[in-house]
Amino acid sequence: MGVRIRLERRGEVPLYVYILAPTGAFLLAFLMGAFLMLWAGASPIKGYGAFLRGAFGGLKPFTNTLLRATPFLLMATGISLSNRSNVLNIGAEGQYIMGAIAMTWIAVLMQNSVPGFIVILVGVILAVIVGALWAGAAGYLKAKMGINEVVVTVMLNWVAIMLLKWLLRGPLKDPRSQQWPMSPPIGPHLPYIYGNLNLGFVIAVLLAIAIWYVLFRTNIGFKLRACGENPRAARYAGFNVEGMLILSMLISGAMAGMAGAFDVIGTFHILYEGIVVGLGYTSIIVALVGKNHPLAVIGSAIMFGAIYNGVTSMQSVTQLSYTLSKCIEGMIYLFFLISEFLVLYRIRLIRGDAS
Amino acid sequence: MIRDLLNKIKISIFYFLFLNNLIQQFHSRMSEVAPGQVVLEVRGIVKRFPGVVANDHVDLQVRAGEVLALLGENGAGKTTLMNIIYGLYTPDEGEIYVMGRRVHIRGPKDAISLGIGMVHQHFMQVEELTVLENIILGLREFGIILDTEKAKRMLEEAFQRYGLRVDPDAYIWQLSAGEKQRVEIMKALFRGAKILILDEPTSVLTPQETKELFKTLRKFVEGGMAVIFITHKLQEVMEVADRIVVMRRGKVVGRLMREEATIPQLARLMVGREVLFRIEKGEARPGEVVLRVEGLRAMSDKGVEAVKGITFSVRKGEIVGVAGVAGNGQKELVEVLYGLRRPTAGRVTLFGKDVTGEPTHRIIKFGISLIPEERVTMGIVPTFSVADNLILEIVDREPFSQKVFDGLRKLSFENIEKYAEELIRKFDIRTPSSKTKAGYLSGGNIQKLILARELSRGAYLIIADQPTAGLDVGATEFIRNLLVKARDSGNAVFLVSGDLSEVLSLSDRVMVMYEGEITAVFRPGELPIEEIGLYMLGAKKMPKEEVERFWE
Amino acid sequence: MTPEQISSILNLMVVMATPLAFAGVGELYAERSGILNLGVEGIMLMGAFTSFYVAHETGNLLLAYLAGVAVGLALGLLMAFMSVSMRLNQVIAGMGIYFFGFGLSDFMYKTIYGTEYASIEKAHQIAVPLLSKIPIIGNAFFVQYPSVYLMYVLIPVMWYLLYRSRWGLHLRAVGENPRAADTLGVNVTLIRYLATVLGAALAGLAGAVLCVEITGIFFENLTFGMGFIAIGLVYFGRWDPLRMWAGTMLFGLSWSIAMSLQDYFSRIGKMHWVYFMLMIPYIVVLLALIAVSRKARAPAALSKPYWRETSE
Repeated sequence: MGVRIRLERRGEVPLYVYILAPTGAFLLAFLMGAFLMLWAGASPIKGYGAFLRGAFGGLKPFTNTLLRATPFLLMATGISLSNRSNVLNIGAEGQYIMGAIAMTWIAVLMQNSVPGFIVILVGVILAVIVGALWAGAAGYLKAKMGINEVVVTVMLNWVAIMLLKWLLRGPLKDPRSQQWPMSPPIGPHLPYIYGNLNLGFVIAVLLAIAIWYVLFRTNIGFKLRACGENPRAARYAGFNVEGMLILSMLISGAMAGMAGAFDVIGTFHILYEGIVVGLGYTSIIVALVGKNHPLAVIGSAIMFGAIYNGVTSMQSVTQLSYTLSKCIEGMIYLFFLISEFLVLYRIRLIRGDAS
Repeated sequence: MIRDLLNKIKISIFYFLFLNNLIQQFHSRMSEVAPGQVVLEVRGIVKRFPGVVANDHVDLQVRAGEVLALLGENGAGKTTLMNIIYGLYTPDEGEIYVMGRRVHIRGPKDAISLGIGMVHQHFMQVEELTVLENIILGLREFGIILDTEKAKRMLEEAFQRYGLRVDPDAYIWQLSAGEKQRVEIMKALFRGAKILILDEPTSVLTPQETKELFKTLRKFVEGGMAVIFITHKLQEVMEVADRIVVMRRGKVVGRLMREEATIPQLARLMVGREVLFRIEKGEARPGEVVLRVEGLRAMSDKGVEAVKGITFSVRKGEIVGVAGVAGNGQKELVEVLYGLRRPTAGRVTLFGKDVTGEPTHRIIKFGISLIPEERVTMGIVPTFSVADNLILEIVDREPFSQKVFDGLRKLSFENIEKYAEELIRKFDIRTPSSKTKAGYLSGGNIQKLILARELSRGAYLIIADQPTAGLDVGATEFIRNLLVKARDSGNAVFLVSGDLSEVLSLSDRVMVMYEGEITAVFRPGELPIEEIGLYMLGAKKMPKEEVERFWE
Repeated sequence: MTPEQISSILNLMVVMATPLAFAGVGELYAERSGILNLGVEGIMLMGAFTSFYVAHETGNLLLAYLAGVAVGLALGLLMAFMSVSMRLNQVIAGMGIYFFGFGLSDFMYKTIYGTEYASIEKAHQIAVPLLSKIPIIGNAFFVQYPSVYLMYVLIPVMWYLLYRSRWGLHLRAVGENPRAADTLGVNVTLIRYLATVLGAALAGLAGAVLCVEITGIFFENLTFGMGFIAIGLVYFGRWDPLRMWAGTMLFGLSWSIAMSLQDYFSRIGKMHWVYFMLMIPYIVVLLALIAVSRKARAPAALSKPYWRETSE
């Protein structure tokens, strides 16, 4: 006679559920974050106060938030696109590193002999190509040989990380830096808009809008989405499913490569191991929260930029590790999954006895 | 502590033995039942799915020693009811009695221990396991480390007892449909089933195999078992049933003995109106050859040759039908024709132009349409709107999109909408709006959507693969008439169907496929059903020259 | 190369293969039941951190191993709940576990230990009497850490159970066609739960092994992608425990060779080439995947949630 739990698919989902569920996910994640802070011996009120000031407290912090959001936006837009054709690009991290390496390499090679904007142009183009190839390889292996893209992209991430470590201690090492593995400073930079915020953010927003347009307003996007939603039917409709998959991975990788290049010439002005902090992985969450919709991804990228920026300023107040942002991220992700589920299904308790 | 533990173990052993004993009692009572005694009864079963009441207060009694036919068209709720009895679905209301005792069936396990066995329409078998493994799956008596020798011995005994046989070491994917069904029946019998449910068992069989199955079922009921036979085929009901229960839209609408039933009466009960199949089909006026296939060969996914040198042609204004048991190369043939599979040899021409091995998007441009076998997985993108699905293959054409630059075209939602509204009206697709997701439509309306799309995009040849499988009578009739109309307006139609009566009633010329070859060609009415069955089984074969001459 | 060098390369090969083998065979069981657990890496990280913490606080290594298993179990339950009960997209759910484990292990480490250098006393390699006396092989395979000996027993046993036992039969059936198994009274939910939890517990153990036997310290991302490599090796092994095991040895060998060259490079003053060599194991895994891709056939129900009740 026990009570059994049954799931039922909801018919029409009221709008407020759509809004409440993800909001709840965020709030719960921050609540859990507060518990973590308490456990670590810090005051959540003070912590979150610093967090909010750091993320939104004025124009300067806010532009910093937008600066932080730029790589998220670029990578998450690309990831959304590949998600739409049903291939998960976990390798944005590696593509980002490869883009950063390409940009740095060009800068080290050319910055003393040609004008800055040419360095930037050539570097970004090379970064885009390298990033695209890094992801395209995984797309190709998935499309033509059916090899799981998650495994391939993660392997390529590690290849990129090791390559970076090698380069920073060898060919790309700044001879003046003694034992520190870092590249020489990079002179050319993206034009600034306000404070540290540079043109990269604007380009990222424009690209997100462009990809939204292609995805939802053109035949290519139509086919790409069809291939992702039902590859079999797409094949029967004469669409090139493998081609779409590879194309989406190429674009996804290109955007991650661009993000790497932008960070080097817009944010760090140097290449060092500290760029490997899992931005590519976070971007997967950004894409999920933005529901793989490029316009919504703009919003969610800014939100995650705020989390990163906020946690950094929280760190200086509470002495908490910046990795708290990783925990909050992970929890946002999990709660978000659960909220998605609650949007789609209703849970009913029923008596085991049918009569 | 230790004593406690020992006590617990004792109790659980005791309980286990006791339970076994109960079940055994049950079985011994089952084996002693007198013919005619009610062994299974359901009362007031209600089952709702979102938007439908699949079972609406259904009462049913099954007696030992009889074949009970449960008749109804697709979607009438027969399978739902049986899934409830077998424990796969939980009923919202109602009671089940086995041997007069109220039971709660929480899952197939309970059903099995109550002596209920079920042969599902789509076989419940693990393709990658052997026959033996499939049969002993879930049984406890062969130990934790499986005693396969013992299992094999017992299986051989059971095979002998029931006069069925399949190689126990063969993998399921190596078996024919008939053999798979024998495995399925054996699974139930091996678990001591006394009440056997068969869901549309003849849909995969040839006429001869069907006869054989009916004989076996007779033997079962003579031995005291009860058989529930689910079908929508009236002929079969009259042949095999002792008692008939007719369902329509989730309700029981008739209970009768076979002797007092007539086919027209059953049809009326089942469909709820007088006339059954009304296909307005006049004489064919075949014109020029549209499709010509010569010596076509192709491999299956498993890497064996599935199409072995087939030659045929389809003319303008005629329907050429393929009869045959599923899995004899029809699927691969259709895929090759539509550019989804590469042929290994042979030639395909369309209006004399060689299109062999062309990819699907070119085939679509050349003017071939396909109504695919599985409508939801192959025919539509369920998450796209009805309108988007209606222009799926022609999204690149004017006026649905306009060129921006090479390859990139801007969608014109207005024109797509207009076109969709028109087709929805013309083909009577029941949908709240053209923006509704196609996956929300009923099976019949999805099929209408696919037909609307495929018949409206200006094709010369229409390939229809199982166009009415799983649809109710109304939708079936509608779709068959559409195909005939397409023929009359000058299209060539190539029909593949597992339903022999469909092939015979729609086609102007018929070919029978067996193991990738054409074993017979004829015009409907030229051959008796039994002989067609022999060709479908490969027991008879027309000479190759005769087959090829037929298409001249 | 001297026999000693060969022997020590092989020794390190086995050491590096061990965590992979545990994580791999666990993942293999989960996948055979139809659950693709992409969270292995996160579970390994949590297992590694927990075992490090327990070893550091208590000094008891056995407790440390058990702690790793326990945390794996807990995360496995979470994964099973999300993918079996809630029927979420398994790729996304697995990534959630990964992010969660990745972030939390690092955060807890940094909070508890801050910047202080914390280390534990590692487990010791134990020599098996007699067997360890065999030239080359003895030193390589029989002077080993405790978990290595567990691996020697566990993998063949898991292989045997998979193909010869009732549970293995149920597992394989559930991963290929859950509905068919269900109609014969096999409890699909239970089997999937057990397989996922067992797999995650083994991943937790793998993390513990990594920390307690190999590194002796904890640091961010110390798994170096091993969780994902394990998933790759399941593909490489075509869902067969023994073939997968061979794959772990292949990875172990390439890693071991790269590490052995470390001395050589530091002697010639070109330390950075070590990192270059460390790309090789990952590239080897990629090439191995490409080599077998044509033959691989995943369990038919892999990453597909099962609903008993779906309307016709």
